[in-house]
Amino acid sequence: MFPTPRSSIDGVDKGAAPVTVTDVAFGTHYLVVRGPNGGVWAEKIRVRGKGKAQDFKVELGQGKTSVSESTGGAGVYSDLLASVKTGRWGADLQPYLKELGTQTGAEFVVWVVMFKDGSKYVAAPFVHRLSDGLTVGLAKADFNIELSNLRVGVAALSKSMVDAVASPPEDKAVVDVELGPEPVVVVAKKPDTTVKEPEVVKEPYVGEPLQPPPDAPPSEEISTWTYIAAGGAVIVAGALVAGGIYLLSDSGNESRASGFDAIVSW
Amino acid sequence: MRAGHLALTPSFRGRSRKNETHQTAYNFALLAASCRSDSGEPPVLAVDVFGYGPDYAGGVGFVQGLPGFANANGVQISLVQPLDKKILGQEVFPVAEGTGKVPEVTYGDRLRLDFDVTDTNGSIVATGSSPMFDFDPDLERLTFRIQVGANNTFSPYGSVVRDASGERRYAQSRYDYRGTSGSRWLGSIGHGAVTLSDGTIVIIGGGDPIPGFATTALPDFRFINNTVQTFEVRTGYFTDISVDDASGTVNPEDKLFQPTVWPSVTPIGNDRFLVTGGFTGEGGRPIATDTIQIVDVKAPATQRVQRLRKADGSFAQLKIARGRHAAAFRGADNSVVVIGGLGVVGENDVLDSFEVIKLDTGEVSGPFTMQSARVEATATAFDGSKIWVVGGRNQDGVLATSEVISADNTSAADATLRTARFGHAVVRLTPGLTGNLLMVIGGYVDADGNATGNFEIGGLGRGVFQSGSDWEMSVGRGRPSVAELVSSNDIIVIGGRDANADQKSVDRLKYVDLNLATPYTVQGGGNLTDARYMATATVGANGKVFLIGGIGPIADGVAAADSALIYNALDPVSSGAQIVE
Repeated sequence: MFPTPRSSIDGVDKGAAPVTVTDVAFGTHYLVVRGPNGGVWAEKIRVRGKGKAQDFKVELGQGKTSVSESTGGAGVYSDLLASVKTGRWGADLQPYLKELGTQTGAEFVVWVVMFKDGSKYVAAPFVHRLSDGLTVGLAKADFNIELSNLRVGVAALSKSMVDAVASPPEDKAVVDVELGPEPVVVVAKKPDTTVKEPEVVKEPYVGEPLQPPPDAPPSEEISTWTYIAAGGAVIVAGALVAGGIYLLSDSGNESRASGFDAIVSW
Repeated sequence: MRAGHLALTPSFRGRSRKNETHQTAYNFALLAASCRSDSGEPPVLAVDVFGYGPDYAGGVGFVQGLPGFANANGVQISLVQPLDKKILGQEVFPVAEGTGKVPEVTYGDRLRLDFDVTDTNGSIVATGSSPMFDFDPDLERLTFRIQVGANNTFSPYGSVVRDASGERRYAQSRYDYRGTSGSRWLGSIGHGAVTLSDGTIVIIGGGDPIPGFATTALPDFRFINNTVQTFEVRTGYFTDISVDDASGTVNPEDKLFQPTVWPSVTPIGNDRFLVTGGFTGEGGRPIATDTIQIVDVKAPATQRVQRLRKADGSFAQLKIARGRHAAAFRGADNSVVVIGGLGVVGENDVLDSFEVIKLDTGEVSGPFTMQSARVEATATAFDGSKIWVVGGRNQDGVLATSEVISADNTSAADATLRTARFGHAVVRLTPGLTGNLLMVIGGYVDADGNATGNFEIGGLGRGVFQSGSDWEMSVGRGRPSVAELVSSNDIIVIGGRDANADQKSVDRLKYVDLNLATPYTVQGGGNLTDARYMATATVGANGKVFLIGGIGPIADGVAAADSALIYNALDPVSSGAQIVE
């Protein structure tokens, strides 16, 4: 039997090609097909929406990138994240970062590891320059346990990363990293900012008849999901350079959205 | 070589492994930290449009949905970061579709949705914008109503109210009367209009004068307000901060210590403002006051307006009661410097002194001597330590001189204006912030009410103001209403008076380049329907200019308005802006 190539999307194995995949959400994803003899096709694809079948043809051996034996395959992205998640890494991270850069075309990969330290959270930012493999560890930021100082801290982190991308501080190069306690999940609270309907009569209305006011904004039937995966790190870096954009980097959580939908009725 | 083949079909069923993968996501990118549920649905920004314009019945008014703008053909929806001049997403739809979606807009803060109506030539004929907002992965849904109006036009700004029958309707927003008893009229000139960091506009004091006063007269006031009102672009509501929304009760502690018109209202950080002096006493000759109060609309009820106290607990007061003075925050010693103005004797009592209010201690030092007595001068802080006082008038006439008050509380002469003026406006030029540039716009040139349309630009310490023959607005404008647009840095100059006649036109000083001989060109910008003399012009959270108060015709008379107009200056994030993919 002829060996078959294996396919993966966003680091998740989807089986032997050719294959029909139905559990991919709307949005941008990374398709990798790996042949039995080492040929690899890696492609950023855009899934258009529900009920819209799309075909993607790949040519192994002429792929848009190649993946090394040590890091290639379906698990490159998730392996990278798993390593970062431990808070302890060294030169072993380099192949994953290199591969991520190859897949995405980014010049830098930027990440922040957040862990709890006593009564506070500590965010440790890192910037990795793919051209020469330099990784710098930037100044950590502290957040109180309620994260009420999140915005200020994020702004400072962002600035430090932007500055580091523009001019990596080589004196802060790191090779082996061992961060404090095990990183934790951070849950940020957000106040309800929904527009409230007026409950109080502010004033009597006097004047010509008007068009009636609208009801509450329509409850939109959400028919699409957005989602971003392996490109997240790159976009985070780009966003930080651009200033103040939040983007979700996800390691295969297929229900996370990379942004919001703006729906306007007129 | 072997070709593989994948057929991908999106699926919308639920997912698994969520908890596991979230752990990774949080650790990988701080900005992804979120408590948003994992429903799999993207968050939604839902925006409903209403407008002011042709109502499809031959009239003009508020319309649910898009008014019948002539030649409307398309709708362009843009998600932008106006302060950073970035476009995050943009789509165009036919008007007839009635709805449109811009998918996958990047999370971010200080975002804004711009809604532009285009004609068959692609020109923008009407616009509306949401207030600036933050949208991060924590949010499931955010909703706005936005008001759309034709370009370069003034419209009443609408809010939803209930009429007598209980039906909800759009109507022009008016000041909040819930905290006001009797038949008082809250319309105002001489109020302070300042903005909070979230774009909320705060209106402090003000009064309704008896019309017909001479240019340099101190008018009598039928009513003088002790209210502090907030104006939210998102809802269109004015809200008296002394009213408890839940109970409807009024907290008198959250009103000004006394009714006040023409106080100085100075931002002192953390969305707080120092309200100093002004005139009080309605129904007769107004009297200058010496009160000093701090307004903090975000403080708990009953603590939103407080008189400044000294270290010993006593109330801080100005050494010289004054109103219609200038004031500026001086960061170097955390103080507010109050400058000139009129004293207790009235319209001929022009003061030649300034005082310094130390915010840390409540101590007031001075009075210190100025180079000239001045009223209706302007004061602008530079470098945290210097305050540039420009123009004004006194008993000797109209002033072209300027002076700089330093941190050691001395004042020294500085550059002389090319045109002596008072009742002018100044804008510290955003494109020239590093150059300490100040634009001086319009103003009266004599006590008879003749005004200039000239503008000039000076740099602190440069010793000279620049102007040119084409640095001239379409008409003279005494006491104009002025605001600088966020994206273009164009300056909108509205109304004013000249030769005792109201001006209803708008000039747009279009920013070109500060290095050119003509750094701003003058363009017409439409007209007010009715005059709004001495209204305040403030850029709201949606990037539009709000004209609040001002004297003009109301019903069959003339009075100060108790409402807001929105001026739809086209100020898109430019096509040359950075587009974020």
